[in-house]
Amino acid sequence: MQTLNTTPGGFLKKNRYTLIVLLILACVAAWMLQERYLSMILDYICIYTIAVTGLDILFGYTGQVSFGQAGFYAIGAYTSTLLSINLGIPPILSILLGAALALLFGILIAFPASRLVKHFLSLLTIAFGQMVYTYIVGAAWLTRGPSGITGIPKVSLFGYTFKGYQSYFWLVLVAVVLVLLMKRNIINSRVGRAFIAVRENPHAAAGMGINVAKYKIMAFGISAFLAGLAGAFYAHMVGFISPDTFTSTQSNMFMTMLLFGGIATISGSLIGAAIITVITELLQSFASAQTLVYAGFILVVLFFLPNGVVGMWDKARAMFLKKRLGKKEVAS
Amino acid sequence: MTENIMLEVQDLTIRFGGLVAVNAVNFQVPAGSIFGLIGPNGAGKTTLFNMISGVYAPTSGKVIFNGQEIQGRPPYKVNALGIARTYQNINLFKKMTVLENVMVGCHTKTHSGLFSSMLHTPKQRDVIKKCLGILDFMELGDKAELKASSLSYGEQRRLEISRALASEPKMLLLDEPAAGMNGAEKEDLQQTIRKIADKGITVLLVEHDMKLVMNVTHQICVISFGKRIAFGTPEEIQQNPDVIEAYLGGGLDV
Repeated sequence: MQTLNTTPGGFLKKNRYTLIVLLILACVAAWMLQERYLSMILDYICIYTIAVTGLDILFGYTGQVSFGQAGFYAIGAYTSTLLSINLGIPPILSILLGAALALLFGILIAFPASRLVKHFLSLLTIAFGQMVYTYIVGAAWLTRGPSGITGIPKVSLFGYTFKGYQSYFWLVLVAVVLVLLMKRNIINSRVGRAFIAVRENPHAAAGMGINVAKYKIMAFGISAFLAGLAGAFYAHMVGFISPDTFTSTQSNMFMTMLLFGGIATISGSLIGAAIITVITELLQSFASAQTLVYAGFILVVLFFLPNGVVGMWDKARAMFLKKRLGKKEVAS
Repeated sequence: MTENIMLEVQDLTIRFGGLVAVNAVNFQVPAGSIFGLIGPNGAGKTTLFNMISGVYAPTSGKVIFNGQEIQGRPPYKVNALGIARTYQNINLFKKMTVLENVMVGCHTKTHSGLFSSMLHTPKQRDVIKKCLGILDFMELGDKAELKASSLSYGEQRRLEISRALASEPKMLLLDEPAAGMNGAEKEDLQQTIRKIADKGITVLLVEHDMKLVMNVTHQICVISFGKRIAFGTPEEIQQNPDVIEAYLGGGLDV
């Protein structure tokens, strides 16, 4: 089996292009890290990648749509903020607790959600996102309402404090790498195959012994956990959160990133998050038209890139390989 | 009869609103046999299959598998008990490869959970080896890396059987496996069904192709309009006047 080839030489040869791309990305990142503003963009890319990866496991692999990821993002951000400010819990721990609470909400919402499909599921998730938003605006005693919370403590680890955007990048980078490795491991496992089977044909999946509801709930839980984790990282990066960040625009942004990068691919969430974050930054002066820009992107994807940037790249590579193979056959 | 009974259906009935789709059907499938379930279109064969495999819960009656009452259990539990099935309308995971389809079939025979999957790339060698073995058995070994949707119709039917076999069933339900196959493919299928039975797997076969059913089965149950009208060996069934009437039409007096 080719897929089982794990010798180092084989790995280098098979992943040549991936390694080249990673090297280029590392150089670009190193250049961006020299400046504060550009480092912030890198931080955002990492944070969004985490949230979009969760959405990909839910939507891309398991086929369960969610337009309410901002709700989990908010739960992670607010929980970690409040725990670290009010109870003095170290941020590195409160971030995990924030993600854990989001996970809990994800599982709760998944019980009704696992019985719904398509547009009914969309409506439920939109309603969930809206409920969380309404709550954080209204519950001023806890969340300080629309004015938001300032002075969120920075993350410290082993006595080192991640104060600036530059140093924070290393923290979120480690998180992204771990999350993407975890995603790859899950997708190539029995659990990942069950997710895809549920997406492809829930009846046949059940017939093959897969507890469809259980795997839908699991996918919801993972996506909520990762959105909550991203939200908590976000809160401790900027040091200030307010309800404005957690509107449906945020959910739509995650979905746009996923669709643009390519659903059900390992690197699609990273690529989508990177491209859309950079474009959003470039279009800062049109901030009021943000939703319109996202809508435009989704239309572009629907008409021209059904499998996102990664799908386009794979297609191009397949064509190139075919051409080369064709030439070889002619030669021999 | 002293042989073991693998599956017993007792007075199985299901109503959809006012319609009685299956009405008090009884039959026993001996372990290790190939058992045919035939009847005209709309007789209720697939509905019976769906009750046995857990898709529908019967209105009344029992399904006893291996000495255990299983009626009303969800499909994933029925599969875990040892009943695997194929579908009349092919129900593959189209975007997965042939091999991955079969690997999904191993779901209940493997046990890695979410956390063990997350932390390390699981050792899948054994699963892959087993699934490739099944594909070789079904003569699909050279197609393992192709997308399921790229297979021909007959190959897709064989893949459905491969996937079902991956769950190591005690009993295999085949819902019209020969539909859409040409003559040569039907010949192959006949051999395959025999080979599966030789492995000790009990086969319950719903099929319209009479030649195939008569050639391959040990016993046949005939249903018409949701009721059992005959039961016996292929030879007995071929001479049964009720069956001939049901198939050829009982004339205008029905």
